[in-house]
Amino acid sequence: MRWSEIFRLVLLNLFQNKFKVFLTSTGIVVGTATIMLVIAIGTGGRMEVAEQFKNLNAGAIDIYYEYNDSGGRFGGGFPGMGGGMPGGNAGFGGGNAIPGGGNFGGGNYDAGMPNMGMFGDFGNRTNTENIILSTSDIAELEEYVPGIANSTISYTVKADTEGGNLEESVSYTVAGVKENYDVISNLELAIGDFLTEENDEYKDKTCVLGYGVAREMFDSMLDAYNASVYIDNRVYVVAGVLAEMGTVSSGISPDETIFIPYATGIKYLTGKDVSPTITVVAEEIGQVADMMTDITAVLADNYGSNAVFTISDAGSKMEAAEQSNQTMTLLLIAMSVIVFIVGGIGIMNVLFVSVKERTNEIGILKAIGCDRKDILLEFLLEASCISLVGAVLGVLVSLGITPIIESFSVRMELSLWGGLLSLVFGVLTGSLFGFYPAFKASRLIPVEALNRE
Amino acid sequence: MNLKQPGQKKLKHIPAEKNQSKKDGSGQIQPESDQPESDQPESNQPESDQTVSRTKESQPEQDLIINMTGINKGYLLGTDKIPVLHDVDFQVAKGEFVAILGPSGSGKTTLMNLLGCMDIADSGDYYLEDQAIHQMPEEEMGNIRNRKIGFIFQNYQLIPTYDILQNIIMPLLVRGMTIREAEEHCMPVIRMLGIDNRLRHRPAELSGGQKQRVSIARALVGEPALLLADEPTGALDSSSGSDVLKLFRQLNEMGNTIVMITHDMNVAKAARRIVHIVDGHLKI
Repeated sequence: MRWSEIFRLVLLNLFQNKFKVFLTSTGIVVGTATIMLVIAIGTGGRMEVAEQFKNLNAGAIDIYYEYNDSGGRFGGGFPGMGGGMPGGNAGFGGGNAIPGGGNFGGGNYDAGMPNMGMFGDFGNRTNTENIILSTSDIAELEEYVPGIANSTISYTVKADTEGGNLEESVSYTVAGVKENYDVISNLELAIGDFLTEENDEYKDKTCVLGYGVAREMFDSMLDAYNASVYIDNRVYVVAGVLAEMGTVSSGISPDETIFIPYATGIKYLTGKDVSPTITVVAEEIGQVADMMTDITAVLADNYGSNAVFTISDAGSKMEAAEQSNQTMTLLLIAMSVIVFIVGGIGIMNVLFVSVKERTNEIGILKAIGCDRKDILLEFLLEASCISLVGAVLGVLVSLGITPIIESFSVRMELSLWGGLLSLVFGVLTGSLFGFYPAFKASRLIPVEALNRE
Repeated sequence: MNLKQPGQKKLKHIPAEKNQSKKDGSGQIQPESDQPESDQPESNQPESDQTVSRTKESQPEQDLIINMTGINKGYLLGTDKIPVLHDVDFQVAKGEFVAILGPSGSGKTTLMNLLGCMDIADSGDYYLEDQAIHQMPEEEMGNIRNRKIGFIFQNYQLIPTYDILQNIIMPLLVRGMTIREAEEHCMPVIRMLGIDNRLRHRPAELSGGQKQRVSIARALVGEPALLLADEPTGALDSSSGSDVLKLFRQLNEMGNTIVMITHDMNVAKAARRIVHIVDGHLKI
């Protein structure tokens, strides 16, 4: 029998049993919609992670020291405070110092001391010495730690800012950074230039505005460029404006920050009361672990074992976030597999009933010469067509559900390949589960099938 | 046809009845006014004996369509095997119209299933034309059923979801024709049987006699070597049954070989030869 004729007979049967087809395909509808949503949520999650970490360099290692001015009763500090604000009042605008370059929760590595966690052992006197990391530490690390491709030092403070359209002063995060900070943090400029080495050397009162700050203070980026802003009552010239970076999960949010030269900030904003973060970038990501060990050794050698440095690498945080996203995706995939299995069993069940109902018809077809292959193909095609109907409906349902889920602040990214994959999964599941009933139908003995009512 | 295959026998020619089919100008077969029984001998004795003896004397040898020798068939009932057919020898020549007459449980349906290649004998040889069915794998039997046999069932066995035309062309589609080819091919048969005005109806919309005509049309479109009819009038009223039997005779006169199974002597009389089956034994 020709495939085209078998297909025609299948369509004939399906059109005569539309409601049955619809009910049978319900499981596949749910399964396909689920897998499409899972793919959309998974892709959305990955994009979210990528976006949140896009200002991070995977090979970057942050080194931070938290001075414990309570006399070291609680050793170890708060190394687990992800993206946190490790204290150290800068004294300007009443803001706390925030480590630059991104200091995040999880994956912290304490230098010099094995004690980690929220609290060290009572009586263990650590971080009692007020150590301020500086460019000399960078030089030391570059000399003794092999594999460093780039390094920088930065800090953040909160400072009252005026200018542009602002009617009153607003407290913004101000980051004191070196000229290479934009490269290390993957910042892009929308207009103008980033800070230069000369700006730092001459302690120029110049700044680069984050996208959000520029939009708040000025009508447009063009207006912001070369304009004057007042930071802690001192006038700064805007040398450039960053392109929009979006939300970041941790560290400095570039959109909401004003970048000034490192030395300028020390001179006019923080004085010596500052807790900078050193960021070094590994030449290769594979070297990061060894480098962290080396950095620990160098710092321990310089400052003694009572100084506990928080050392964290961006890669492990990105990995952790990605892993968490993958775990969630796997969970959702497992759920959709279960839905598919349930849907598939539903199809199998209905096809078994269909084979039983149509046993006489199968007997007639066999009596007039239909071979097993034709019968198998007919029922298999029927299962595939039912699945295809279900899969298409499933894709449509998922398109309808997506805006509802997105309204709960879940990021979803629908994609063509996600839709195609869902369709393929749906059809495959139905065909797979439809095979056994089709096989049973093809094996029916003509005489028995003919005589069955 | 090869007549010299092992186990095959030659049978004398069986003459066709004198009466010719009556056709109108369109070639459509018209029901005859007389009853088929009127052509049959009055005696209730099996006619086959007389027919066979008559043909042996006067007619030349002719090709065999069916040649069964030593056929045994039984069914398992639990662990016990219940024998149904015992050492059956049965031959049918090309152009014959044979009735297998027997009471319920005599094994006639089992014999019909074996003749129709829908079941396999436990032992014995069966040649259908030149094909050794007893040596044939089950997969090939479908092809034999499609090309060599036309089935006519008591309860018509039409597919209820297909319309009449779709039912009729099914054997041709199975053979590999396209729907257009099949429809063109079957139109002469449809016109001959006078059902060309019902082609888009469903089986449920037809009378019993019309359904049986559809069933006959489906059996004929493939131009089979053998028409097998299982109680073809069993579900019909006497008038429709009579029409069907007349149709069978006309088809036989046109050269079709027919084997009909029945438990009704009056129906069997429509055939040109009657074979009795009793308790699985064939009595010729």
